[in-house]
Amino acid sequence: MHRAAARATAAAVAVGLVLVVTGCSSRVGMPDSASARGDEVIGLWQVLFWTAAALAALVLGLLALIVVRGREGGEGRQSDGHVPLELVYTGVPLLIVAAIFLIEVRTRDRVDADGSRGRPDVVVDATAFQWQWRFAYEGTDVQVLGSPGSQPELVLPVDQVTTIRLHSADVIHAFFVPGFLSKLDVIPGRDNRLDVRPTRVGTFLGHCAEFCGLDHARMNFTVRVVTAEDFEAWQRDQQAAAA
Amino acid sequence: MAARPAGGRRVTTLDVGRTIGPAAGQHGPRGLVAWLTTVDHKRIGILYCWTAFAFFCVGGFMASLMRAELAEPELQLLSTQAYNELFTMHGTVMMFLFAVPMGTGFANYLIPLHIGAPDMAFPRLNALSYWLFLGGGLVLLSGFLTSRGAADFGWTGYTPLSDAVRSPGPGGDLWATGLALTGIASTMSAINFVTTVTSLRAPGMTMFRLPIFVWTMLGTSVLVLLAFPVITANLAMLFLERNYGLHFFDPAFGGSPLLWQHLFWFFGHPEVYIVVLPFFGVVTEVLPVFARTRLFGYKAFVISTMAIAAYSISTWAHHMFTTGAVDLPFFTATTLIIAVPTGVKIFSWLATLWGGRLRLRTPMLFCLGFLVVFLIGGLTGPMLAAPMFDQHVHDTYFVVAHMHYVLLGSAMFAMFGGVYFWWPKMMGWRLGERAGLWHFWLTFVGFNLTFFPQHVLGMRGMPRRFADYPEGVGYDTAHLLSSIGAAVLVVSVLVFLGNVVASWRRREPAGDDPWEGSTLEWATTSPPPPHNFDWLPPVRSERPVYDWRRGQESSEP
Repeated sequence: MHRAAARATAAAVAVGLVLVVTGCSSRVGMPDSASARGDEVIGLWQVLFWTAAALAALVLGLLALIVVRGREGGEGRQSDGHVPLELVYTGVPLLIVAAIFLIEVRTRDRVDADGSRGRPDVVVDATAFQWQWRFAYEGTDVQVLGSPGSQPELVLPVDQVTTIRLHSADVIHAFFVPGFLSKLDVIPGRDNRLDVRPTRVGTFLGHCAEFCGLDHARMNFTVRVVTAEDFEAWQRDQQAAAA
Repeated sequence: MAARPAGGRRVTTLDVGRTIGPAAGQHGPRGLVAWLTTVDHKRIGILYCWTAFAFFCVGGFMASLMRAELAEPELQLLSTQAYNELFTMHGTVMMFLFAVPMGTGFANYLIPLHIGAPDMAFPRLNALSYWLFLGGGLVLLSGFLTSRGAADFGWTGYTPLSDAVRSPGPGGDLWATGLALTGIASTMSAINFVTTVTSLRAPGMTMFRLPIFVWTMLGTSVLVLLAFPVITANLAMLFLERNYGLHFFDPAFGGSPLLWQHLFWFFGHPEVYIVVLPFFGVVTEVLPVFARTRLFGYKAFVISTMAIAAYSISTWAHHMFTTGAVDLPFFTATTLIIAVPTGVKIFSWLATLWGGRLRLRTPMLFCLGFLVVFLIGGLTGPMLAAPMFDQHVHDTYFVVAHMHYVLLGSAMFAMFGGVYFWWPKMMGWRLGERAGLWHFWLTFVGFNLTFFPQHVLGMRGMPRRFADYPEGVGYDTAHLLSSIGAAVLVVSVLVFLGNVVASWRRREPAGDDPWEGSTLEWATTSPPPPHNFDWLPPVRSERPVYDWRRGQESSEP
């Protein structure tokens, strides 16, 4: 009974893995990226996922083999170790994590370089407070404030670098747009900055990702990425409405 | 094992702790009073295990309420406030009142038996630890009885949310006080374990002949001694800030909210290993016995245990990658490196099983189940060490899935493995094998159904600690699957409790050594006498009882 069940488990794991992989295409479960940084994160995720999948297949395969082959009765092998083998299974994981370290650092260097080339095109001051957001565009009177009935909407131009300066009026919050594949904490007394370069037009959901009290789960917002012309038109309309 | 005394060592001297307390003597109180006044390590160990298991059920009940709420979007069952209190107390109860004390319970019962000692070095201190733990736990939970409810700022208690302005009421103070009490209990236990292991070992029991469980508890105890004073200090500062107007964490008065996080995680990451190392030990005791093999790479296993303990105090800020305030490459490197000694353990377990003659009884099944879930949790760990990836999935269900695979995967699977394995020794009768099978498969399926979909949920962006989530943005299906899995887990725990009751009615005698074990506890009776051993086999390796049995077999005509 156990061996049949063990085989069934192994088959279920294999089927599950195939479903995850094929069901979500090359992104392997990640959302469709809408930012330059997001593309890099998905590239890194593919390296991480396939490394982990290969290791999982190795270990689970060996385990399945042990369970299926192992006959009951009598004594098993009585080996107390084998130093060269132990060195191999210490050394190989060390090389793997060293490679992951280098790949991660180089990915982050590329993203940092992308964010910091010259002055940002747009600067937004995002203020988080229990339990809403206020987005103010630097150099203009444009300001968006959420209310319990309506989610605030952050409008951003596509293919331009926006620097979002994060301020908290009370506790720690976090600015998180899953479509951009990054988040940054909003900490009272500290000015964090997040550079984002959206790569496609569309509407994306944003969350507060750091637990901030009673209505944390309702502190959502919307990000609308528009073309550069639409962005200027939107800003003019907002400016006129403010004046 | 029939002809015991020939060649063995009779225990004639009275060792430390032997004659103290009613449990050790024949004339002390009986029944409930004996249990309430006991200083016997076996009784304290059993009290610890059952109390921790009761807290496991309490924490699991809270989790099932939350999963019921999250099965569908919108609020149906709980208010937002109730949900926030539940996830705070669920995390706190599971970490501090279940996972750590369950390891302490096993250690209390096993360490003196494993090293051939009559009791712990400080039996009264041991009893004090237990009562402080129980008292601290009740203080923590008593927040639910106050008019403003229990603590509701997350088990991580981040400031300034947890200060008196944002989280008023006694719930938060009871949380801090209760945690400090359980922390002191853990510290006392750690002192006791280190002293016992270093000074009460039987003749022949050198350090490199200690059962691996004792080594993992030694590593755990050292971590407890380093980490718990830090959280106690942090909690004291929070208490002073909440009640006496001091400002350690409030930026409006020059404090730093990140100070809390640094101190919390300087404790919190070692805490992860304080939870899992004892269960590594449990698994390492069970696997060779049921594979009929010897542990492969004993010294590598000991060294990797100590390496994990050492590295774990230098990785804390990977919990803070999204604060924008920590050095990313340093903490990436230290966190990734810890995967290496963990990998050594996994390969060591595989090599131990390789060429084995597997007896797939319930303890073995739970330990094999542990290998599968811990592997998955172990593989998502290095992913989270990469800041670029972590900054996407931090504070989402991906992290929830990871920590449940690592922590609940260890604590629950290895706990049940250990319970089925040592139950005959503790009680003198066995747990039912058929019900054990049902229990295992329900646990395994329910666990994976609950937590595997949460990886996908997190990658899609679902933040943790959300009482409610928007409909139709890709979160619905995974939440429903997860809630169904949680229901299966509830059934699995009920099957276990049913098995305990049914087996208790039968009370089928287990015998002294039902599994053909290797370590010293199998040389004494089930349950052991108050002073543990009338007789000890000679200790010539890390498997004295195995050696003794082989010697007996070869000397028979």
